[in-house]
Amino acid sequence: MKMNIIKKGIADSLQNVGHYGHQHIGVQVGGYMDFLSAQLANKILGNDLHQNVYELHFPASHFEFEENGFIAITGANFIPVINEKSISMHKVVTIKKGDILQFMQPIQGRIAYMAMSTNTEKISVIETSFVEDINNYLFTPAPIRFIPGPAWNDLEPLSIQTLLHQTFQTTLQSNRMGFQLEGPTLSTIEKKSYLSSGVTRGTMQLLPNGQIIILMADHQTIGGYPNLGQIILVDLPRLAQMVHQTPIHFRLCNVSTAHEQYQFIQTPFTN
Amino acid sequence: MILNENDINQQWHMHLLGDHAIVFSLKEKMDLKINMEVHALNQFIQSKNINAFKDFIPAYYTLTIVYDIIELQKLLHNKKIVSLNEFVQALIKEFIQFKKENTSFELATKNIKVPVCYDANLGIDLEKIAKEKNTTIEDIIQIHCARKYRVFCLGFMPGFAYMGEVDKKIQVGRHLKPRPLVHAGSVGIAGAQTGIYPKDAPGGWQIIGRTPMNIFDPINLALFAPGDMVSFYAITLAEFNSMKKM
Repeated sequence: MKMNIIKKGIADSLQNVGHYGHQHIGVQVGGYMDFLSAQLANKILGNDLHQNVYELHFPASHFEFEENGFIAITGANFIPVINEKSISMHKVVTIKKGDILQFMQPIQGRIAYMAMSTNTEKISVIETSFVEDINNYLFTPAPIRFIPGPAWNDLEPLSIQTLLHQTFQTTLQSNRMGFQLEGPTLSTIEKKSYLSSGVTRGTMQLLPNGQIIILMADHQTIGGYPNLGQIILVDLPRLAQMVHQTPIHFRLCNVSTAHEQYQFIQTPFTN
Repeated sequence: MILNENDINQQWHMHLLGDHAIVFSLKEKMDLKINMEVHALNQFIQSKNINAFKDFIPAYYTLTIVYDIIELQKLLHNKKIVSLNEFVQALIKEFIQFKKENTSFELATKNIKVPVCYDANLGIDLEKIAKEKNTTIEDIIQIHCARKYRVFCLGFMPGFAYMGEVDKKIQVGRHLKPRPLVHAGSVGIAGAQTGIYPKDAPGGWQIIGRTPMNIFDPINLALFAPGDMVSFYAITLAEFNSMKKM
């Protein structure tokens, strides 16, 4: 769908599932931060699930459409308006050539997604309960689940208790590469250095100052900080949507539960 | 879990990294033989064209494989394999068998000579390192240029090669707080490692010089590959500037 960006947002980009296959030469995967909202936007328009979507951070870009078509906006609510009239989120919105889309104010969440289409025939009605389920899942506070990583047992016993029972929060040092958290200081039993090895999205690294950084979509491929654990894939969209100073509680999880949860959440999208 | 023992007396371990990656590892050590094994396993598994495996990240002593959860479940189901553990154990067994039958595995390696300007304006940490190591800037340059370094792996950012080992006489730790901006071409050291920043980026390595060479571009991709042998030679600031213009 043809459109002009008439005012550029701070961190907007076109995203899809990411580019795999080049991490061995250090090329990041990228892709959307919140795969649930991104897929939902495409699903509403009947698009291929992994078609490019606009990932929007506030203040978001202003768009002028150059042809008729359809959009769907999901994820964070920035109060989207077309020609200064508010429009519904999670619905097919009809666009006419010359329409101007703006985002007024961040009300909920950190990242919005916009899917686009010029094809009416593919659009089929999706159940409102499906949309509600996803939004409840994304925005209702609940612990962030993780699977212990290689350096988990290097943590002091007290730090393990701290990580499992105390509150952490998101900080302004959060972007597409990683979210730096603020919380009680954690420490390892001995100050050893680790030889760098592969990391992936959701890796929880312990920084030299005792704070945690969680690697997100544009993460580096190899890292040398102690790897405390991995946030499970289905909880990364919830983390990605947390605005500045959102409290976070961590909870232990295992691989088979994580796989079941992933299948459970992905199945309705592919039906 | 210990998977097996192979002919150079190294043991492969396997653990899962979260819910979407598998890590094969040998002894945690910057070692040529260990690293060669990692790359051999990487090539072997890649040659199997397993659809569920989306990305391979060979590092010093580990091979991390990123997989697609749904594809992997399908694969296990189709092959009637009970668990992921069983699947990867079989892979390692096959690899060890393959190694027995094909004794010589070698990476195609290049010799690369890298010009570096060690001018204090570019090698911004030289003075500090000289003080810390109680030596002179000239000695640091001479020591850094005296060795050939092996590329162990690529990572951190596109085209960044982790090379080693740096002479103990000039080994220094990372900056406690990373610099917000390290310029493209900057040559850094960190512990036993040396490397070149392919583009402007934040970074914590100690910077001793800068190369005019292009390390990564979107068309030719990475200049370095694992196994390459790299040596550095000193150039003047004038030479740096004229090479930069070419």
